[in-house]
Amino acid sequence: MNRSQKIAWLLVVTISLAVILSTAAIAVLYVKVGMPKALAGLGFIGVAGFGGLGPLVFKKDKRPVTCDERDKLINHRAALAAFGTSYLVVAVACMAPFYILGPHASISVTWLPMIFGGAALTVFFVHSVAILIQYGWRNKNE
Amino acid sequence: MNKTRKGAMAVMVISILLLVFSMTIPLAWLYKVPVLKILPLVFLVLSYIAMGLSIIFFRKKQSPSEPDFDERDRIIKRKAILASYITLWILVFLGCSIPFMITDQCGIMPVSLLPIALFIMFVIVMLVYSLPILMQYGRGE
Repeated sequence: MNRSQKIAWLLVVTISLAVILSTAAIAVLYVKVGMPKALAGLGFIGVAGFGGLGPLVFKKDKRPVTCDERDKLINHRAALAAFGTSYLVVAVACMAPFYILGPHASISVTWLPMIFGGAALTVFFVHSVAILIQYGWRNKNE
Repeated sequence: MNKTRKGAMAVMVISILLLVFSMTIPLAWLYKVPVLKILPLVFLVLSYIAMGLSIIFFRKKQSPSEPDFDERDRIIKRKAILASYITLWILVFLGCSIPFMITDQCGIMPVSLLPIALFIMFVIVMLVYSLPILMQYGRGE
């Protein structure tokens, strides 16, 4: 498994864990204390931040050539997939309140940073998944 | 002019027309001048005409031997996608943080602004995608 795959794995695990934990926390808090306070469960999204430590944890390979044309192409394709998906997430996040609440409704501005955060998490997640799909999920096809 | 350049030219023209169209809507809404009221419709029709013309423009080849796509086109497109990618993130960040800061984190906003913001973002991203392509081909010739 090369360095990109290891970093991608770390990101996939931490982001998945963060989303699962925060969803569970919001669900539990919603039952216990009701809606505005239940959003405190979003704090678990911070777990995804540990994924950012990947480049520090997994040191660069000591081989003379660490990145070839194929690696660049894989990274480029993954970035494109992440770009497309994040734009889709932003589009859905902007259109959904309009259709669900109606055109004359209003929302709190506190939802806007959440749209940005959601799109950012999607970029990292999709980029990592696309890298893992292209390399193969395990050691083979490295 | 090759296919990539033609495509970028068409995208640029349509993006500018759509951007002007989106800017004329608040003008027509705020000022009750009859001429300003027609402007959004004019620019919308113009953008549809541009879309139709671009299909004809796009299909017409300079010569039968003209290749559809080569390595240089791929590199130029890659750089343009990167530029539009960065622009999208800057716009999403600004669009999400400015209302949050202006209203001191406790304001409300109409949901009808969200699709408008999305549309303007999309048009700007398309414009930014086409400009580096035209600039890079211009520099090479």
